[in-house]
Amino acid sequence: MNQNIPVTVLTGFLGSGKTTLLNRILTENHGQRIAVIENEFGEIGVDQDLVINADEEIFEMNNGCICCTVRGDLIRILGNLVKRRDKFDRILLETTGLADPGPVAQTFFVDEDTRDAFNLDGVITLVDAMHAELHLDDSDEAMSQIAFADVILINKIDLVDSGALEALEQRLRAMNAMARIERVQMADAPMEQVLNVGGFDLDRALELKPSFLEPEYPFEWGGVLRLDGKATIKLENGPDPAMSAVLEPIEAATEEALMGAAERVFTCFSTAAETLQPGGALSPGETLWSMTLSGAEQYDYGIEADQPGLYALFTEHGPDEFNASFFDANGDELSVAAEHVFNPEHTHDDTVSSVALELEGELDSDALNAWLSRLLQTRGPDIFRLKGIVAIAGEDQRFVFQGVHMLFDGQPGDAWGDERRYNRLVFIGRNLDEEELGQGLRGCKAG
Amino acid sequence: MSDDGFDRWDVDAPLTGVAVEQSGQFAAFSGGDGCVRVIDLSSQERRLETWSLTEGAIIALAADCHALGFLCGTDDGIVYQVHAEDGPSELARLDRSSWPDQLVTHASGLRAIADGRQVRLLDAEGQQINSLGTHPSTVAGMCFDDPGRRLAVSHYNGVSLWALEELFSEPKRLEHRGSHLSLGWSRDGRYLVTATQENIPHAWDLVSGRDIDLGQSLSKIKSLGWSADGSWLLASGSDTVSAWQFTDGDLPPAAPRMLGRYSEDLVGQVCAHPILALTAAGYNDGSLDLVSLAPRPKRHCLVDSKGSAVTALAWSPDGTQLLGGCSDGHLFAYRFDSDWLAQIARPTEAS
Repeated sequence: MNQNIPVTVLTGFLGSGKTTLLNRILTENHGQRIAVIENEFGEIGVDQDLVINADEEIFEMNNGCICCTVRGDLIRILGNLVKRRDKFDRILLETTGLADPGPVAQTFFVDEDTRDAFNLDGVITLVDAMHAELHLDDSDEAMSQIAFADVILINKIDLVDSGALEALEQRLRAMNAMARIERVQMADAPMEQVLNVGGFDLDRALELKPSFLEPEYPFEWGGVLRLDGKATIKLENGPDPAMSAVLEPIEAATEEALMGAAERVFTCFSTAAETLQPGGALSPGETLWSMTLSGAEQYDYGIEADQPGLYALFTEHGPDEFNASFFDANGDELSVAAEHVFNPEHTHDDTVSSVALELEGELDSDALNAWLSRLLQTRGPDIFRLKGIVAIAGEDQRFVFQGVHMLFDGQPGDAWGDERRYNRLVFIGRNLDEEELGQGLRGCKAG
Repeated sequence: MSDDGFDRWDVDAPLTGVAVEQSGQFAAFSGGDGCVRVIDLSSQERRLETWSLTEGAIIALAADCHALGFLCGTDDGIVYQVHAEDGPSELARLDRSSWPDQLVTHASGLRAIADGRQVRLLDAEGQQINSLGTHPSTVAGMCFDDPGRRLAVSHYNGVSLWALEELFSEPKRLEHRGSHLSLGWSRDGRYLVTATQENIPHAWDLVSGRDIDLGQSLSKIKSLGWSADGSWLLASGSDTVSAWQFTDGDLPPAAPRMLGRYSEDLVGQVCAHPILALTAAGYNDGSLDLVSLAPRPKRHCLVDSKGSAVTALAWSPDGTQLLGGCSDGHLFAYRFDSDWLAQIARPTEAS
């Protein structure tokens, strides 16, 4: 068993709630001995055994690695902490608002003493729901904090509306597809969400399931309605003067069926829309309807299904944004039998993004080595994090690896057995070209 | 019988330092349990006198600038002077963001305490003479030159040399990129060597102004020092003792001579004998050797066992006693016959 002491890193801009979360962890903690390494401006409100103020002293390694900066103060502090008889169960490290988490992560890759005694458990990034967009627009550090995160906590969600929250989450998701994103108030994240994250644990890399493998859709919402004949959608004024929609018969009221229908109607959304005025009706088929939503307080549109049954309605925007409700012919409200919020096409063009690659079959070990080392050499400064599971030709075990900028760490994982062999890589970085990365990976295929 | 005997103790805390005070009568072991344990080397009784200084750890230990004294730095930011017979008293208190993990003294009556990016310089009475700094980063290592006229301070991107007679002047900066850790000054004051984060010791020749990287070791160098005659630089961090010979007033070739036994568990501590051409080498598996620096080196194994890493070593000033211990709290004190030691140090006759 690994006896190393876990280190949890808390990052986030000033005012995002780092100290609140820190105090929460300290007060909720039962039986764990926690040492806190605070930044120089930190103010812990809880009476704590050991609080160390760190200066965030960063230096460049003299090893030709152009982006390899390391926190020397952290090496020194951790080195002194292991000298104690009563070592700690956990270390919490709070960075300053403007800190780039890169040097902290790199310290755990580079320094052997730190690696031998400690594990970087995870980078927890707090974002202030109200100001995050602003910070992301004009700060490299904010981008970097998102890119490095294993867990992103969107804090102060009570201060913004659901649309803004959804947009922010989508933006964060597009930047970092590997992180778990949670919405919290007063930094009230359950402890199991922020501790024992295992974000840098290669033994847990098999859990690697980036959530953006879901493609982007030209609609934001799909819901299943059970129709007996005519029905009505009631809508109010929203952020847009019109909303397009498609109605499609569906075989079951499940999310799975909805995803299948989504594929069928995908292309309908790129056809010319038929404009409807209030009182008009949508009917099933390949027609893209555009409901006019301006000039009045409320808008009623009919739904005309020839056959009673299940129908999926896909809408350009979330129905919440127009306070939509559905009614049957008797005027009773219809409930939505199943629904799914789709990943809309991004409007933000952040330079930081995630790319996931999947490739079946086996890779040639030399070719993979050559490709990855060339990639990290040339693109290292732009690659914040990298994780992968690959099948190497001639090897029975999976090979799992991770990287932080130019630093790389890998080990054999579980055996494949009879399983179909595949390769999965996820990059989070700046100016990533998915096509180029995919080509590089395909070039490593064995045989 | 090769040696006169040895004593050992097991305490429930990692050894963080060992030192022998100037008179050579007392030695002290500092622990990760906040205790300093003092032994009277002249007594046959071999009893440890224990003083508890803090709930945390003692993170630095040094012989004080006068006889019978030690200095201890604790991880609650306090520096204690510990009299071998009368016990501890507080000497200085730093604020909580600073840890006094670097302490050095000079027999002329100087004490230097690392305090973040500053160095506090204290006289023998405990009065602060000056505060040196601010250095570019937290002080990682300090060393007085032999006469006690200069203090070298290591930090990011090099070393600062303070001429102590000119207390208010700026230090001379020796620049080299990277994080410089512990450092050692040759007896004649000509060469200064730092251990670095990259495991590559860096050497400066203060006369010629040249500086070079010495060969890269396998792991971080936690211990370096100079041989008694000042010609050999010794370092831990590889699978044998690494040694560079400084002769004829020139910097040595980068590649070290590898002395002593090869071990998968690397050398963690080296400690040169104060008189003879000999060094003690403590390995990360707890084994302990004496290795001569002769042209055809000999070694003698004192401990050959699988245990915890040797974390500190010190010789008594007369070179007849070797003290040290391990990360699991095992402490030891060896007494040697001088003639026997001299035999190990003597070069083997060429056959």
